[in-house]
Amino acid sequence: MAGFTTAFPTSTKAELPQAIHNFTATTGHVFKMALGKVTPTGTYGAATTNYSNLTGNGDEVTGTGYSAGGFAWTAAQNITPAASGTSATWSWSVNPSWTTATFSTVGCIIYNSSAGNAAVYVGDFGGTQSVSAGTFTVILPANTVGNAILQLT
Amino acid sequence: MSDHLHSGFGFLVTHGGTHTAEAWAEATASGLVSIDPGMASDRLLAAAKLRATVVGILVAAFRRVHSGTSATEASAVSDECLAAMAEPFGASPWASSFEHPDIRREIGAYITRNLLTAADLALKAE
Repeated sequence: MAGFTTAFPTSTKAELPQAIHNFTATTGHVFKMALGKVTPTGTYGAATTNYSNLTGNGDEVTGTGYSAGGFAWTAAQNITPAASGTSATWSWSVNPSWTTATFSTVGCIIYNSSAGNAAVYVGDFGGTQSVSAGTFTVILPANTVGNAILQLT
Repeated sequence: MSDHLHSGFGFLVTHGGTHTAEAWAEATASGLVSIDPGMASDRLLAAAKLRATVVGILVAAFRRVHSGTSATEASAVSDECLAAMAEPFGASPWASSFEHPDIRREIGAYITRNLLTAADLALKAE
């Protein structure tokens, strides 16, 4: 069924041990969050491999204040993965946000723009999120085991 | 090894303008103190009271954020928030959680991230 399902892409699992993704603060890669439009035609989840999956289906958000490709974190905003007990978590030090924006979205893909736009996360927003001529911020969860947006346990 | 995914995003939406300190405080507090209508009434009351106190602390913090706020400054403001929250959390049913060093550290990082995002947005607005 078309839509977004929160997932750690299977392709990412294979890419991590190949050192394709570097989440290290400052010296690591640049990651981006692209937003998905309401009523997408594609299906996004564990099988998603790349940002191009979203654009290929024409499912990226369009609207005022949103540029194709989405929000870009700087490498300095990466939070270096850290171990906690038997797990590891990582995230970013600022939340993605869009200003003077008018659009609606139902999900996102986070991808590595330094590594061929390979997907590293797919997120379902749990419903339609809309903004009108204003500011839209996705507040990332705490970077803790059980909560962090990206983690291995 | 297994991956564990979380989709616990929060959303802060301000139609027709930018996020206010009050909106930031409410959104940040909602990620720290959950108010679930299914809670027992005494815990629900305690959570509502605690969240209101936390919002007050955070409003003052977000009013101090500006476009030039650095990560170091945001972290210092976050530390002040944690210090101010110690007493109300200590008097709540969630005292033991708040006292845990790891949880406290992550609460601090969560507040810092939202402060830095507010600073980032202030910079974009210039």
